[in-house]
Amino acid sequence: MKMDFRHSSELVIPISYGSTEVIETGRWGFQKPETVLMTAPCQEACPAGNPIPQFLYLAAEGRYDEALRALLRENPFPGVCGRVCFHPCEARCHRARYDESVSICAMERYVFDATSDRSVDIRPHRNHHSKQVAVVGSGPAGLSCAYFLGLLGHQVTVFEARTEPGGVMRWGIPEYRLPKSVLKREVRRIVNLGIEIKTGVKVGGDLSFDQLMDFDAVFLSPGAGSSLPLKIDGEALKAVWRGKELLERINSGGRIRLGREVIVIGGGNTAMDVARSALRLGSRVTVAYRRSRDEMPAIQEEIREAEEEGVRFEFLIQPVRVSLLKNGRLAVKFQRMKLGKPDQSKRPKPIPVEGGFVKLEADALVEAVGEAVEWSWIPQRLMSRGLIDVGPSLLTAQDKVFAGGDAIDQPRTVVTAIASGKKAAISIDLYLRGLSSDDFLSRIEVGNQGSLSMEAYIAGIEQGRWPEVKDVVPYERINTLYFEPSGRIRERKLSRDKAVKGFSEVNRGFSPNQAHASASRCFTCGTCNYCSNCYFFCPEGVISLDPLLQSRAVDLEHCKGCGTCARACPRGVVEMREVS
Amino acid sequence: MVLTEERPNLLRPGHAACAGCGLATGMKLVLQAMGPRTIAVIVPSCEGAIGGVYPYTAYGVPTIHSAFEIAAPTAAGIANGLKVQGITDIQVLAFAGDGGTFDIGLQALSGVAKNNDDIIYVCLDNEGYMNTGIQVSSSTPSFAWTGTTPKGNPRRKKNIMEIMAAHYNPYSATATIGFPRDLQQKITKAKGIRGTKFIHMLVPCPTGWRTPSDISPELSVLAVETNIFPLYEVEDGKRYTINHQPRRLPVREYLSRQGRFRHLKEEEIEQIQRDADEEWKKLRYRAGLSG
Repeated sequence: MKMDFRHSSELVIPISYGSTEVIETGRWGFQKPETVLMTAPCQEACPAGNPIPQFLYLAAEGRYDEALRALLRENPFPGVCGRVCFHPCEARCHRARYDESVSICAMERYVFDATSDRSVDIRPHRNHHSKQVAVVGSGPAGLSCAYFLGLLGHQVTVFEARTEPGGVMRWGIPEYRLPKSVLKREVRRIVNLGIEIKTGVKVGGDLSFDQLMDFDAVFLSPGAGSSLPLKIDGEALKAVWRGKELLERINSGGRIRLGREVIVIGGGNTAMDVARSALRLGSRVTVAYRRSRDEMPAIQEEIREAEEEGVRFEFLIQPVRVSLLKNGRLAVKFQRMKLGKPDQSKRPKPIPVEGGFVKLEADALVEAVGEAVEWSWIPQRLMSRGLIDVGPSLLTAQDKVFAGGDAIDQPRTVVTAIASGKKAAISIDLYLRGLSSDDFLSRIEVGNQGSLSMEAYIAGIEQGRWPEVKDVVPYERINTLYFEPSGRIRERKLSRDKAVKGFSEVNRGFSPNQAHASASRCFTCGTCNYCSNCYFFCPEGVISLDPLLQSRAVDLEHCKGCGTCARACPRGVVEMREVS
Repeated sequence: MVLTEERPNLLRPGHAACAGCGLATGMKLVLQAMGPRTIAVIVPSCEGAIGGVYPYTAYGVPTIHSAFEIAAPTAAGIANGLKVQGITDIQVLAFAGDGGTFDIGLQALSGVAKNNDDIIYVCLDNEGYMNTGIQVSSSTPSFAWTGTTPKGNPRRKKNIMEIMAAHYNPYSATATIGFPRDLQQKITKAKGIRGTKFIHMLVPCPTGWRTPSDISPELSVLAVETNIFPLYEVEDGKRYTINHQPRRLPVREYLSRQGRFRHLKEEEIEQIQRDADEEWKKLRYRAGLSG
């Protein structure tokens, strides 16, 4: 058609009314983004498998109730762990390679503290296979086994020989590290789940071991409650104490006078607890350890705090004899030691220096050189070298009897005890369902170091939705460009002078602002925290995110596969996959 | 109130930008912050190519495709037309590239700024004539390769912000896609000011800068953190505010990731570092900060 413009004064302007959305630019690309959620290294390092990135993300958003609920899915003791854990998570924190690690432990505590005025509603799952389980001992292992079995819908009875539940958390750890009120709240939450705790019932006394066999399954977690003796002369003197017994006396509220000067033997956490407690009772304290400071098995922070509070340390000496002086004081003869080749514990073996002796005087001596299991009530065939012998599923030599905590061969910390309680709960549940634990434990692992996820187990066993086993995020996948460098935030502490005056909690935790800043420092490795980078940077505008519905979607019809979202994701959650 | 970032996307998918285009990201962020009560002006450049082939358009607001050098006067004409009709709630937005701003449209833009016509002018600076096949513009940085400077650009990048400030217009600001919230805040701020607002926006171009398609935002962040492209605003040509305290990374981090700087000699990198340091010092002085 021929158009004639000669007589037209109008300008012809072409106007586009259609939308380019009809053009499927998605066909240009040969790769498409995909969300790949991964396990953070901290989570792998946590024996209890705490969902660290998730709870820190929720905490950074100020959603503390949800953060607490996330923690409680994997760990019944956030308030305790947030105070006393040796936090292996922080050593593996990716942020440590960038500037300084995130204060994960302190945040766990803050989440617990910030929600202290509200009760969290946790309900057990309905279980048609519900059975009766007995738990012996109410320490961290026993109570967490009971808690998780309760969550799984079983009826649990806990037998505790002492007057109150808690084990080491109640009778071992001093008030200035773990206030009893915190433990009380944690125990109340467990009891509210329908767990029955029978205190003052001693198995082997009030109840025989065979009577436990009336239950469908049994979990033994008696702990390691009796201090080992040094086996030296003069040990029976009145002013010579055993560490555990002393701590128990203090934790029972008894008034104790140790005297002006106290010597503590040992380098572990019990020794530190004893030393710092003795300071608070008004004594001057010297810790004598047979190796050097580097070999001390106590938590580093504990050692540092003890030093700051004024505890003195004598290294490379070992007591050989205690004798009573005429003035009522003790004279302790020490053998000088030096470090030799590494022994089975992979630490240098202390060897006596010939003829090297030191004499110290004190009013009291406390031995804190290790603890043993009191096992007179347990059948001998369950034991091996003073510990309860267990297989990989924590099953003992006897059918339907499982064991965990300090009484089995594993590191003696609260968090490993919790982890063994969780593992036993899963093994017991599988046993009660008539299933083999070998087939299932590998499917719910968090990382490759043996931590298990209860959330994954429940999803799998209840709904048949076994989650994919996730890889651990390597540091190289984190795009640190999107993080402003910032320093680690430290908790507030009581001043030295105030701290040693009594047993009030030394660590005062975070202020709300500190907590927010601290949680915001988390890279949330491997977990989407809806930071919106992909949404902002997508040149096509085809990404939609909804943090409330937890949804992430890409319009693949128009995604050209440039890879910007994968590259811009600071936490390595997006991956480009080739399309065929 | 709805957050700027939660508003609808007004640059529709299906547009024809290269994969990983920084300019498309930039326009998307600007239009989102502008909102639907906007009339946009585009010029022959990537904006036109991205916008779609007749009869389709990627722009979610009424858009006029004007001539290369007259983005500013076209927008000013529309703004004045609206004013005469008594329409006050529609903003006029002009998009032009660095060629259309630094070189060919400079005189037209200067005239509009002199009249202080009520428009928001966004210069999408990808540091060269990328749409026509990567030729040098007066915005191309020192020593950068382009099709017409095969041995590297012998001249320095023109300081367009100072030229605009010399017009004493109410608001000028630098922005870049790597800092989307800052960018959208500046657009929102510009919407609330009457007169000629100028946004100088750095938009990495994977094709022209010889980079992979997935690092445009990253380059944009690096440009800011190395002080190659500081984020600041100038009000009334005299009040300077620095919006982001850069980490002051070495310029090498920014340069080494781009093919257009691959041939750089050590002394050339040092020269760029010196220039960046000097400009930063000047900027701090203008912002009333010492040292």
